[in-house]
Amino acid sequence: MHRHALMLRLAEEDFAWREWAGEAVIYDAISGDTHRLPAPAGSLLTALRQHGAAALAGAMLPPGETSIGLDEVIDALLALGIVERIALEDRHPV
Amino acid sequence: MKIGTLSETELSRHLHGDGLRLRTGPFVVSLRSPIADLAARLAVLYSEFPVAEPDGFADFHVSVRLASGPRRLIKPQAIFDFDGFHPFNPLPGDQAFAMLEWGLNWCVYTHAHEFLIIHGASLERDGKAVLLPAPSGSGKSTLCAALTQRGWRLMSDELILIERESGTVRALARPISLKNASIAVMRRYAPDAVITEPVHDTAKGSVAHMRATQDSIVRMDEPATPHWVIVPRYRADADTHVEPMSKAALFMTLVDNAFNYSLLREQGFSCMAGLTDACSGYRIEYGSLDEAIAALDRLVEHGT
Repeated sequence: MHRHALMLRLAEEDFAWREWAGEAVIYDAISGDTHRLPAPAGSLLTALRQHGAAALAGAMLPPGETSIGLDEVIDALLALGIVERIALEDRHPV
Repeated sequence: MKIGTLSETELSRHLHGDGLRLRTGPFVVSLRSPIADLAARLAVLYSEFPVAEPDGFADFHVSVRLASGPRRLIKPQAIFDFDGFHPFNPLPGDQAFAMLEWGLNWCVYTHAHEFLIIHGASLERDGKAVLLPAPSGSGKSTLCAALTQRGWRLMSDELILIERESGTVRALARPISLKNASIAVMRRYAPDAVITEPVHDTAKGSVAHMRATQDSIVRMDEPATPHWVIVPRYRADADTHVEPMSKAALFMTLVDNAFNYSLLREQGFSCMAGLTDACSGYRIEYGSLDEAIAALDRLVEHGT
């Protein structure tokens, strides 16, 4: 399965973040660290916030937004803990 | 009442007695010092600053004195005292005034957490502020000093104060600290400016202070709205080069130069994000002050 099809959701409880032109700056309230991630990290976070949980990461980027580097960005967001994978049993029936 | 209206005897009496209440922007400092050279430099550089009520509230109680003992006669050392605490090692006695300036900066950035405090200069024109966040050695103070001679009001040379609630920039308008080659540069650039004789062999090399313009002092209670962030970098003989910064890069540059961002935690993040929203950011490499100022004027007036 392509990584873009990962099911993700935002775990914002311990984070503050802002998006500008697809880039993101993320404040980790537990460590006190601030991170800058390249585009499309910010677009992805914005899309996750707008669409809620259990959306397809690759499908959520705004029209025209490149998905180049998306895998690396998702890895970085997962490593930070600001997004998390959704287990299949957490998905709501459609 | 201004410091300049005090006679030498009155100034000395305050400095030797209960303390001179000096107001710089939002802060009142109670200063005591028996050091004659410090008093003389204070009289020149702070002559236009207001004296606060002698029995009113002071934010910081500081003194700069010479260490006692026989060493005083051979190689005097200056000690900065803050409420009985000595945050710095003693320095050679001839650095007493520079020590006062560094000590006042320390007082502000370690205590005034009602502000987001960023290491850098701030200047104002038409109610709009330009911020120059940069570490020592970047040419920030030289560019700041030059801008005050070309229509910009000095708000601060070392500490950018951002009000956390409103996001506005507050002024300190204390003397501008010039180091090493920039002392001669500014003497040539602004021959009418008041610049003290340099003190040599400080931790930052040779240091002199340039008096803030009268307009900067008279208007030190006027806040300004942040509009531009310019990250300067002086390089001898460089052609002036202006490069826009992304918002995320601008945010991180401000964070890297902030004193209390981490301390303020989520509020610091939120305030910094608001500041980033409000400002356009640019890096300017320059080798000529006039070219740098012209480039800044173009940015301010035309956005290019």
